[in-house]
Amino acid sequence: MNEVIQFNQVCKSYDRFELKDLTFSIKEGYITGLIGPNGAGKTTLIQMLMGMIFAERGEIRIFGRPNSPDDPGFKDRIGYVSDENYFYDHLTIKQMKRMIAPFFSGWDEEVCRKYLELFRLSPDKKIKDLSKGMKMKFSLAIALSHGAELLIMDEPTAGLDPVFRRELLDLLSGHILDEKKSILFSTHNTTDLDRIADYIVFLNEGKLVFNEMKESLPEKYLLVKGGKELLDRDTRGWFTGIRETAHGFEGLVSNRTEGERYFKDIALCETPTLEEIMYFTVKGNTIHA
Amino acid sequence: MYPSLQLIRKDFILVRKFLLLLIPYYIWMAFMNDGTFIFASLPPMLLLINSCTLDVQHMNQRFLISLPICRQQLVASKYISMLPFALLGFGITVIMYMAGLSLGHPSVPHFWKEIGLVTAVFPLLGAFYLPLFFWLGQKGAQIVNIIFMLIAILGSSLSAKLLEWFPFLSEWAVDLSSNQTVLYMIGGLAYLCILFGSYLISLRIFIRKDL
Repeated sequence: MNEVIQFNQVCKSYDRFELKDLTFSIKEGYITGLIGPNGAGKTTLIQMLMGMIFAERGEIRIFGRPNSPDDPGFKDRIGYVSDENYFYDHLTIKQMKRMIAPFFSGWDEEVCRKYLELFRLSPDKKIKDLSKGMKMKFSLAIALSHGAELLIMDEPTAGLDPVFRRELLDLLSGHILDEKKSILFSTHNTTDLDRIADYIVFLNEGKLVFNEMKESLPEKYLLVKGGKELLDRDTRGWFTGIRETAHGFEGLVSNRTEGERYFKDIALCETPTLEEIMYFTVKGNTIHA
Repeated sequence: MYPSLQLIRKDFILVRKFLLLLIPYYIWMAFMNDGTFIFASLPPMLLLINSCTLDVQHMNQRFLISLPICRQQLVASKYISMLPFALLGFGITVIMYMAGLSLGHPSVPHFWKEIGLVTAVFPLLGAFYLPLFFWLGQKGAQIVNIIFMLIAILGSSLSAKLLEWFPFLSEWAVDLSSNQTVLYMIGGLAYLCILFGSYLISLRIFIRKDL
């Protein structure tokens, strides 16, 4: 299986934030969801991929080649959707499109027109007059109009209404039918991932928590609900995160086999949702409700 | 088309509206026709500042970086774009001057030489402006823009006054005789060195800058 993106011990630090020795890869032909709480490093990671910011250490490879600023050819094969509008907002959609088109070797005017129609975007409308969702649609139309092999999207579903959100996810699922195409998108919304992602990359505080196939997560994690008397110093150590209430506790165990062996007969054992995995991992075992 | 040329095309798309604003300015210049060629460097400078400001206004540099072009081409295109901007300023000033002549305004014999020199001042100003633009980005752009606009406006007026107060400067500009060839070659070389040095500084600033 080919790897379309590889991070190899990538580090980047700011005043109060650090990406530490990130090493993982994104598989070709799949949809990979990048999740994590605010400030986990998702946008930093995507901006590093696009060459907007630079890693202090480590190497990033895209399509098997280092993403060197001197060799920007790989961007011809990437469709990028930013979480904020970065187009010239005093221009119209038509002007912006005309400006962008010559930069991409695979630009297809007909495809672009089709997407603009599909997203109901008037070519004569100025970017600044578009709503946040419309700007996102325009960004998406541009990203899809030059035959990109890799779509990199930062929070593409943010600001979209539920109807279009669903349509977008269907569209992305359709895009991936060509097995040579890959998608990496960051999101807070685990429902989006449940719907379309094949792989999940989970970042927390600049560190990689896991990079797993979505289907394999239920085999690894276990959600345990029970009385507080079950918690002692030893058992607490098994939990990635615990939420204690007046009536009992619920906690996430990252070793399902061991968790089931101990808790199966004395507590309620469930398969956690992606949101629960994220919640307990981020909060750790210090939460008391 | 080469990426740098596409980027210059991009700059012209961006400043298209601003170009329209220059029409009344030039009409006013033609109407006044009073040493107006001195102002040949002001509109190009405003065009350069305008295109640079629009590039950083809403993190638009991130958009440029997302395109399949390298940072070196982004920097180079800003320097190359000074040429069409300068030619535009030069061309329109000449047209307006000719229009003034046809309307019966008096001719200035050394017009071509002076306008040439004044036009050449613009890239020199740009050579100081662009490294600051790439260094400060959005944060300091407004202050730098105001300073350079003032330099362009006051500098133009000052040049006009200098020529008026010190006629030998004007005579020197007119007297481009062969015995001054070496001087002009050294001047030209220094001019190119400043431009190239400025480009290298901008490149060094921008090539590894986080946006």
